[in-house]
Formats: sequence, structure tokens, C-alpha cells
Amino acid sequence: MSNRARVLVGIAATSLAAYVYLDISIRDLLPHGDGVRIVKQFAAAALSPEANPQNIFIAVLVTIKYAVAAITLAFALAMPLSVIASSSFWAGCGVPCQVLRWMVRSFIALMRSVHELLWAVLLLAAMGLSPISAVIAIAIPYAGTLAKVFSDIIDESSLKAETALHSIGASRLQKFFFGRLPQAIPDILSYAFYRFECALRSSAILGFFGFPTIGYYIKLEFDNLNYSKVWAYLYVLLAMVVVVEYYSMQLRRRFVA
Amino acid sequence: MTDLSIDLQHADLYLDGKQILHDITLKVERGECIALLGPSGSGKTSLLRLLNGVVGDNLKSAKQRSHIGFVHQDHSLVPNVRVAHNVLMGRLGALSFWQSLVMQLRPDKKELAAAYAILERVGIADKLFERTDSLSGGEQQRVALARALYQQPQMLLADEPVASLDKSRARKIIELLHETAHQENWTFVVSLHDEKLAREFFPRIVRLEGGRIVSDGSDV
Repeated sequence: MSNRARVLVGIAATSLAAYVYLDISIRDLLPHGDGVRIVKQFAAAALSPEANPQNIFIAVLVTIKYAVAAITLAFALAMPLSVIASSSFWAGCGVPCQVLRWMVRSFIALMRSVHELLWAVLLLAAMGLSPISAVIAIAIPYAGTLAKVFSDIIDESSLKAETALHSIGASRLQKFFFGRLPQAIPDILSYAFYRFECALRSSAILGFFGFPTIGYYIKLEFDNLNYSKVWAYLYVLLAMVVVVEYYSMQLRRRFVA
Repeated sequence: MTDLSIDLQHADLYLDGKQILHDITLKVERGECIALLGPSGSGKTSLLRLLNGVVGDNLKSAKQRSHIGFVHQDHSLVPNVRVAHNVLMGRLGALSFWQSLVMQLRPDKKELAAAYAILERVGIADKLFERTDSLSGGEQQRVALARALYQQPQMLLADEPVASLDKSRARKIIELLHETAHQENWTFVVSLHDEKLAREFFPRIVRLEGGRIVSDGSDV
């Protein structure tokens, strides 16, 4: 058996083992007890959404405000971290630079290895239900992810301009900031816009913890069995994501083209 | 003034353990203009890089290289910035990081006027504020030349600088570079594939084959 076949068989066996050890059966997929009735009621409500325009407007506005504040903070943290974490920034530099780089990369890994919901739990306990808790909870893992992806984008940019600047006596910083970084900027912005869409969803979900975003209203109406209102918020959330995706796509085209 | 005379004596060049240039002996006086001719893979680019001091045993410092202009065959421009910024990058070697940051973010009128004047000489003054990657290959080639001219080097090395231009434009550009080199007393070493063009402008032609100099016009 070839190495590739061994790896594929290994992956397939691990996937199968996960299902076997979780003791999942087909019967678990079917609703039980009152489940069928609830599912039917919930599905029927999809056709008659009941909206409260004032609440919807406030929920959407707050969700966007949290997402914008979080992605701005995440971007501001990620840019310097990504430069320090990139190997091209330290090209030709000795062991101390590489040690610093790996320390920053480890820090970035730590930031993104904890999910925003867990950060929210920690920050709620530490700082209470203030908007800054939600913003920081989203910003920390997002900054980690942005910094990791940004540093990869920087390292994958073309070397040609940097080589040309090297041949005419430019310093290491000049080569990096004027030869390499400008080429990475369109992809960096494009990815940041994509993460803004994700931040909107995260912001909405934080409502389940009591922050006044759209998730808060969804949970409230779900707990009160007002499925028609739940659907109205779900439709608004869907529309919001689609609209933001459309505009971020336009912006990405403008920057990347 | 930095001594940038060319005096190679039996120089070899190894890259990644492979010998690229063999026993190169080449002396070029200050202000002299020479053309390198030879088939692809004969070592012209490697010889230019050796003269630039970025490879080989005698590496040149950044300060020394700031007096050497280098026009690369593939232009090597930053594609997604304006032409003006690429031209202004020619002087990076003479500036501190903070000076160059100000120049790149907010170039002043004097710098822009100088960049415009250089672009006018290579025939694309109207492209000053265009995005570099929106230009044709030939126009980008001329931006790369403008960057080297803006640098005001003591020595200009050019690797197939007119490869993407038509014959008449190529002739004009070589004439411009040749004239400028004479006026400014620059040492000018250029690799070309057009023998006719080389003979028209360069009394001294160095031919390479298999990484060796097989003839030198001054000796013939």
C-alpha cells in the first residue's frame, strides 16, 4: 500500500471511529416526545413572520456596532502582530529575531485557539455585561486569526520588487515596507472584509449571553415560544449577512482589482 | 565618492553549489559603456548580478549599491502602486527609513516634478498617477528605466532593458540611456539580444557563452 493510500485509509478509519465511539444511531435523528409538535409549530411559523420594526432596527444597529468595533480592534492588533510573525520581515536576521518571531506566533496561536464564546464567558465574569466585554471577546480570537492569515499573505507575496530594491541599496525595512507589504495589502483587506461578515454572526450569537444584539431577541422570543417573531429575526439576520456580503464583495473588487 | 570601478580578475561564481561563471576577467573604466551579448543561459544576468555585488565573494554594501542602478529583465516593480511611487523608489538607498516613508506616503511637488521629468524622457509622462499594473509590458519596462534614471547612479546595469519594446522604441531608449551615461559620466553595462543595436551604440562588446567570456570587443 502506498503512503498516500495509508493516509487516506487512516483518515477514513478515524472518521468512522468517531461515529462509533459517539454511539450515534439513525433513530437519534428523529424528533422524540414533544419534539415533533415543536418542529411542526416552528416550521409553520416560518411562513408568518411577525416583526416589531422598532426592536428589529435596534437589534440590527447594535449587532453592526459590536461587529464594527470588534473587527476594527482586531485589525489594529493583527497588523503589527502579522508583520512581526512573518518570516520575510526577519529575513537575514539572526537567532534573537527568530526567537521573537516564534514567541509572537505562539501568542497569536493562543489568541485564536480559544473561541469567542469562551472569551465572552471569561470576560462576562471579569467585566460584567458591558459592551466592551463583547467587543474584546470577539476581537481577541479574530485578531489571532487575522494576524496568522495576514502573515501568511505577506510571506507569499512576490519577491521580485524586494530583490530589485535590494540591488539598489534599500535597507531591510525599506525593502519590506515598500517592496513587499504594498503587494499584500489587497489580499489583507479582502480577508478583513470577509472576517467582518463572520464578526456580524459572532456579534449576533453573543446575544444569547445577554448582550443586546439580534441573538438576544431570538433567544427571548424562542423562550416565549413566539416562533413567528423568531423567524422575523432570523430573516433579518440572513438579510443583514447577505447585504454585508454584497457590499464587502464590491469593496473587495475595488481594492483587489 | 564611492569607488565603483569594475576590475574582475579570474572571477568564478557559484550559486547553490553550481558553477555559473568561469574565470571572468573584465575591466571597465569609469564612464565606459559596454554591451554584453550571448545566448540564453550564457551567464549575462549572473555577470550583472556579480557586478552589482549581490552575489559572489565580494559583496557590496547597501551604501555602495545605492550608487548602482539596476534595470531588471522582469521590471521588478511593485504592481499595485502608482507609477510615481515606483519611480521615487529609485532613491530609497539614499534615504533613511523615515524620509522614504514620508516620500512614499506624501511625495512633495519637487519629487513629483522630478519623477514627471524622467517619465517624459522615456515617453510615458502621462502615466505618472496610473496604477503600475494597468500599464502594458513595454510601459512597465520604461517605468523600471525611469526608476533607475531617477536614482542618478554612478554605474547603471541593465539586464535586457528593451526586451519588451518594439525596435524603434528600443533604439530610442538605448540611445537615451547611452546619452545620459555619457553626459553624467556613468559606467553603463547592458545585456542585449539585438546584435545590431549593440554594434550601433557600443564600441566594446563582451560576448559570453557557457558562463565564460569568449570575446571582448576592446581586445578584438
